[in-house]
Amino acid sequence: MLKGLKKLLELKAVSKNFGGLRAVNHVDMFVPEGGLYGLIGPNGAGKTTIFNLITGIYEPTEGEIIFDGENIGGLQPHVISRKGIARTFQNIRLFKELTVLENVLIARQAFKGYGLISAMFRLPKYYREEKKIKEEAMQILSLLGIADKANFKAGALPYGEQRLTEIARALALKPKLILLDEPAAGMNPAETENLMELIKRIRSDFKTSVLLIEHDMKVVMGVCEYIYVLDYGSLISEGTPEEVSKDPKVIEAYLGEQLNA
Amino acid sequence: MMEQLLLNFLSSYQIQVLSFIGIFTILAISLDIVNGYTGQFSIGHAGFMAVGGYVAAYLTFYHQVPFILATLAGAFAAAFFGLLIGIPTLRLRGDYLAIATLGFAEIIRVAILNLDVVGGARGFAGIANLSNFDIVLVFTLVSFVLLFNFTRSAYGRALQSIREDEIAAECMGVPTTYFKVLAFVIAAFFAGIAGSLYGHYLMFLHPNDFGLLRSIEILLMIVLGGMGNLWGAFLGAIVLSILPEALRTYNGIVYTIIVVYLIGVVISYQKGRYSLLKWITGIVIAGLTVAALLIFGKDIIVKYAGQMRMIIYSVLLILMMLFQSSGLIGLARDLAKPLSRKLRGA
Amino acid sequence: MEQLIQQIVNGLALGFIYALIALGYTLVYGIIRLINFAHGDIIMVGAYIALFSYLLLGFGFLPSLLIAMVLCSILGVTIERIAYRPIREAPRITALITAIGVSFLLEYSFQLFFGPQQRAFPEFIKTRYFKLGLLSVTNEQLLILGVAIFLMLILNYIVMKTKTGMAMRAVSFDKDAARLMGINVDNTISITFAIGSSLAAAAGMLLGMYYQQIDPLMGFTPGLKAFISAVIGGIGSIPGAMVGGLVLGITEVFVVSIGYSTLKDGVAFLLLILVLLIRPRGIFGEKVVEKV
Repeated sequence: MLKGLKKLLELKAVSKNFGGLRAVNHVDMFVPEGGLYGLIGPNGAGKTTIFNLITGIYEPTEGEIIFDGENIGGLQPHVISRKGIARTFQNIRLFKELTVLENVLIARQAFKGYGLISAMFRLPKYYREEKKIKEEAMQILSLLGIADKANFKAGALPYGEQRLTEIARALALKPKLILLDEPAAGMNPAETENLMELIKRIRSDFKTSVLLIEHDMKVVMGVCEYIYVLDYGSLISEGTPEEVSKDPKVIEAYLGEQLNA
Repeated sequence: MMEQLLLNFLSSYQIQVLSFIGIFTILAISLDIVNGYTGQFSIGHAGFMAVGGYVAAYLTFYHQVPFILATLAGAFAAAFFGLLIGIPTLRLRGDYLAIATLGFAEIIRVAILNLDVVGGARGFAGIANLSNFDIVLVFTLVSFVLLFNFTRSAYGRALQSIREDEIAAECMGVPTTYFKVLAFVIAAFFAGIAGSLYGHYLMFLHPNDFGLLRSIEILLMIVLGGMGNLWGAFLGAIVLSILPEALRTYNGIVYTIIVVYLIGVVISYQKGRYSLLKWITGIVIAGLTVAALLIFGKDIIVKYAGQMRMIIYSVLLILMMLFQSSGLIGLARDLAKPLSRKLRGA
Repeated sequence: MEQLIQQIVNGLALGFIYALIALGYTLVYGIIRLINFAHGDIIMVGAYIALFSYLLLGFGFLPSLLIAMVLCSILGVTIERIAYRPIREAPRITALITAIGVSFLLEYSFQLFFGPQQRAFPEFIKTRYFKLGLLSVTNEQLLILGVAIFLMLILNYIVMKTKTGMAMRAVSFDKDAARLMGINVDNTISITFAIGSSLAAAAGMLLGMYYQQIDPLMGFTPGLKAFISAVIGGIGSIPGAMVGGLVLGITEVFVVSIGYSTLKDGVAFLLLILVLLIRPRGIFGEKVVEKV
């Protein structure tokens, strides 16, 4: 544990049951402010379930989820997202028929900008606010290198750019914490390199803490400063990349047998 | 004034048809907000039309309330019912929502049927003729502009995000239930306006005018024209207002069949390139069948034209869903794609 | 007190008819998540087939019933093949609209060919009254009960004890997994439609006997009410469809008996709204968790 840091996100003895299936079992973990943490484990270990718990899609059966000092267990996803948690999805969930820009704008609009009447009657406030959020959205798209695709339908983009769009959309929420669910899936080595740089930049330039689910060990070992390992819903190990890579329990979980470290 | 101008070119009957196009446009674009943009499934839209119509008519008939005020009151009443119905039902999944909206519309209709103060089963007669082509035109234009602006704003984007992926929308900060209810309420509001225009144009209202058939008619308009696009809804309203008129005379039927046939050819052409022979054969057979029908079946067609209307609607509905679910607007877009590619020099 | 029980008995006949129809809805919904709007109209087709088999062929109760059931099965399978299968992967709205189209097509074709007027339904059996203690039942009611219960038992056997039934249950859980296990999904769906439609045909004939008249639009309201019954009991659940149908039938008869007959059609919708508000999954329904 890296001591002395403020805990931004904390899970205390969180469990989740689906009927008779215990998908998440008494998990204790935290992400500090400014941290770049990883969550790994074999398929079906419950990693995405934990993301779903954090973002409010599921409600924890037991335990507490504390974000920035506030218990967010049981809150609705849109409330949690406005509190500062953004995410991407394992199977990219973009708004396919909308353009890249519109996808990002949806996250950027806080609906405090202009009201119904302004929208319908096109009052000046509408134009001001729209201009502002469009600029902010384009900025994010530029930083991610896909500004030229702003008016393309999100569903028409190649896979790698769809991933970037999803990340841009999440960043548009101006979150304190971003949850990335297997962002490197399906990427070639060059794209993966860029992604690793991007993740580091998210922490440094966007001042956003990161919790990352990933199967690509190069990415995990390359960017994460601390890693949690999940198997069958329980935490079986945690530590720095070196510690975790040498932990026999981790190796066994992934490979199913003991190896010489 | 507009009406006077148009009377120089068109018969008063044709102007009446145009007025109904206006009224149905308002109904179609408002339903499109819920079904097309938000991806929900309401098949009880006629219920809101009924509320708006009856409330406004009640006010003008018994209390001599000025037309615009009465219409707005009717619209707000419809919106209120939209809120009442929307809140409990909009957290249900699509199919359930359909049945629930159908149920509520039926309850409204049955309730009106039992309200003698507005005529009940005899209908509400003697409503003042406070709406004419000019008024309908103004209301239609205003409604279209307002709803168009609505769809091209953050609100429109939010609604579409719900349609595309409700869970992702939630995670991106969109309060989905709130927006679904909002869409529903706004749609109900404009349906109420249409109801008032309708009642004060016909000078008569009857609950059976607002049953499932009416709701399906409106649904068919947006399906035909293309859901999720206000211009599509408008197109659908035009087609479905003209269709019953066209199907009254033999010539009208011929033209309709020819148009439908051509549209069918175009649709199958851009979707069925895989086998030119099959495609040509199909077109020729269809063409010959249609020609034979028109030549030899003339009497039958004219005799049964009216009853055929619903059969034609239902066949249209099925065919649209099977072959061109994006509607006529979608068809136009698909046709324009290769064209725009050529223009870009690809 | 006897009045109450008498009403319950009267309601049972109607309830079992609703249950039969509801079973068809729930089977189809369970397997392809479609509310088959046309299901109510298959009821009507079944009734007309029974009528004509009596008028034109002189058949009695049982043969007419069988002919109606067989022909409607074929109709149901045909509809599925032509209208529903091509859009199986399309958004649910598309399928729903198509189903509405098929429903209208059936209703208005029959109106065109056979006229919109109501026709008297033949008395397949002469009405006789029986007294059981303080209650009186007609042999028609007993027949309805008998046929309905018999068909439900057969259905239960098929679904629970045969390979076909197991395939049906598998497909309703996870279509793709079932396919991977070697189950012919297309055939299973066709069989489901066949069974559901045959039940609807039986219900149509029983409805004809109950109300003693039929018309092309007769299937719309009972179909809707039966769907509501399925929702009350928990859509996708077979015991749910049965219980839901009985609940609705008894409630409806009860409402009429206490003098609110003009509202009897509204009862179904009121019950629906209550269920949707309080317990949307229905009595036996399972909470569906969407995998994110």
